[in-house]
Amino acid sequence: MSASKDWREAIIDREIEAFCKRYEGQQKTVEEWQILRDQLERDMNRRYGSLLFA
Amino acid sequence: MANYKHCRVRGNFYFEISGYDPHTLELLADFNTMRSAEQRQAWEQGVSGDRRLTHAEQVLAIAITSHLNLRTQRCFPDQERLAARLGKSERQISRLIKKLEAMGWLGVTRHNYRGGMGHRGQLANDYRPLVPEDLKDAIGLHLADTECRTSANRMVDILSSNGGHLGGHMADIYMSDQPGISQPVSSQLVGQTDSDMEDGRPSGGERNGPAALKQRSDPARPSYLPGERICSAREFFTLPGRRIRFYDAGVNVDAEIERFCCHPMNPRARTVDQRDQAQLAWIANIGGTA
Repeated sequence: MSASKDWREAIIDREIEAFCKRYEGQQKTVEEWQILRDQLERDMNRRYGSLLFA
Repeated sequence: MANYKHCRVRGNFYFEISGYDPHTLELLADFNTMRSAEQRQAWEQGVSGDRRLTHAEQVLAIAITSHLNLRTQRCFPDQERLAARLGKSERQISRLIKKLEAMGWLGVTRHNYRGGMGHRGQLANDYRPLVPEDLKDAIGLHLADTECRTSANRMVDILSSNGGHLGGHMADIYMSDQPGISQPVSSQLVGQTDSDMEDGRPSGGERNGPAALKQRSDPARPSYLPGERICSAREFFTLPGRRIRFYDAGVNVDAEIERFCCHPMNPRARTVDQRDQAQLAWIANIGGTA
């Protein structure tokens, strides 16, 4: 695994951790989480300039 | 023929699909071989609902499959016995069997043999119950249509029970201090601004009252439908295929990092020993949050 891929994994881990912390204790259906996840992905694309994520 | 009713589903002009329960329809749509009493019952219901068949043909089909051995799949009643049971001639039985075969409800394997001394004859046919392929397609379309409608109705229920939001949290994603990020959807809906928000959520409004807010923030709210899977965010991300993926757009990220690290304006990248700190700075730079 290249160094850059490690960094990208680290970014994903960090974003997922922040997401989980934000919705700590909340229960939703898988479909609802999927919608929120897609929103997070789009938001990350905006913030990271479409460089790393889809 | 005048009583035939045209249904909405394509190719379903001879079969009233909506008159059957979903489980029977699933059994018919997935019908391959008759292995259980449940499949036998569904098949008999299917045959009896085919409006192209006469009463005699329907009864004959059910009489033939009553001879089917579910374990060995053998079914070979002789036509003489069938004729005696139904009170028809063998010629009539043969004609009705051909009709059932043509309609796709019955598969027939005929055994002819040639004995010695030029003697020719016919053994009893082997029968296997089938479901017409066009009916399978029509049932499949009907079930898919029903599933879509159920999902759509459920989505409407979710939206209406949450004041126009999917749980009210989609809008939170738009809450960002980054420039160029749009306003939260919830504020657009109820005409609020950021200053009216409490904890990133709308504080009032007709469609965002205290009850709706309580439901959204209630961690132990009930499932919308029986059997629906409810989980936390951490559990969700452990499900297969839910993790956020990489996007390979042809950008050499290694080169990007190298360029940043070696940029003369970056004071932390002038020595190789400071490369790690420079990489951290690059991550913080593109992410906005270190």
